[in-house]
Amino acid sequence: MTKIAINLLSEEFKIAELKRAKFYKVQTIGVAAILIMVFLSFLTVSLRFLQSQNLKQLQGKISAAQDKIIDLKDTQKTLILLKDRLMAIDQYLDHPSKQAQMYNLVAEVLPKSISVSSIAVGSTGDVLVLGVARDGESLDKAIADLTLSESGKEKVGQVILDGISRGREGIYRVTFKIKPKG
Amino acid sequence: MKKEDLQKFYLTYRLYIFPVVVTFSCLVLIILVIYPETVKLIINQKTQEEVLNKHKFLEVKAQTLANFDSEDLNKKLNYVLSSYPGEKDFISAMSLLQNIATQLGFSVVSINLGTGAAKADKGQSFSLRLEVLGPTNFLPTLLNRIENATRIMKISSVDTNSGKESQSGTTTINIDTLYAAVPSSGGTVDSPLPELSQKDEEILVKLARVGTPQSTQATSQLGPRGKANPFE
Repeated sequence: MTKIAINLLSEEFKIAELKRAKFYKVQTIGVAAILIMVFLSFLTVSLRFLQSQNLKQLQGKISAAQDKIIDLKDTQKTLILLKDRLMAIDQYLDHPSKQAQMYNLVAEVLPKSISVSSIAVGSTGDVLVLGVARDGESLDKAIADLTLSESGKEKVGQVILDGISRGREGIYRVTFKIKPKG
Repeated sequence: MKKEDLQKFYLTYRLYIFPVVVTFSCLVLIILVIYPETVKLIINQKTQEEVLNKHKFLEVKAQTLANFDSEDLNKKLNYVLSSYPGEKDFISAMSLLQNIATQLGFSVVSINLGTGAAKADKGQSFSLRLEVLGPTNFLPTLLNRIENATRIMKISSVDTNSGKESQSGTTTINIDTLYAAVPSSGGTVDSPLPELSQKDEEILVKLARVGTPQSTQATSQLGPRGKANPFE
């Protein structure tokens, strides 16, 4: 059995109803959009407020910590001075000077057959040795030891025989200069 | 225009007027509230992180400073300042030199203030001239003792003369005695704290082994050397 649909509404009413339905749709979307925007505005403003509150709290804590540090300023000053001095001491402690190293080298290397009358170590580390060698061999040995020994190779740059004289007794009076490396 | 006319106008064109009003309102909210607040939020987030880091740093610094035993720190500073003082300590340096020389069997002929005043890498120095008479074979030991003394001193020149076949002689040693003025500033609140390394602790142990009053000890050991009554 077929249904009979009779629309008795006028055409104008139909158009007005369709317009109204369309408007409600637009209205719903518009209201939703405004609500979303209001919510977002509220959210950002709230977050900013919370953030500034947090920042204020942190600033307060920073001021408190700064006050604590100011109270302990003497300790800080002592610590900085201590560290500064320790660094400086570390540069010097257990680091012998060139002068001491050169003197020790000469004292260690020179053979007993050479009787030294004077050793002078200058401010640049140059060493001037005045001595008496009983024979030429011991003089050769002394120079060889100064230049070829382990420590000599490491520290001595040059050995210059400044003066040599042979006495009646056959002994040699020598003056030699030792220049450090570097 | 009457109210009824306006109403009629709105009812006719509300399908267009309403979306325009909504869009305009949304734009106003976005331009005046959402965008600026979001930008500030992002910028402040960075600031907040910086402030948070600063706060953590300051808290740790304050805690570290509070944990230091100031008495112990002062004691350590005394060791260090006796080794590398803030001013010219002629008397204690001279006493120390005299003490070292006499311990090794040298007799001290004179200790004078030298002429040169060198400027060391970081600080300054004054020159002392030590003249001793004694066994030349102990000279390397004397030089080592001077350079390894807890008071920072460096040999600047050595001049030794010994007699023929003699084991003793006169030696003149010029010594640079280092010192550096204590800086007046002790760092700012924000400046990081230096840490004492293992090496620093080792140096402190070494300095402490001899003790602070090293120079005082040397002076007291020597004691008054003249006659009790100089007019006798």
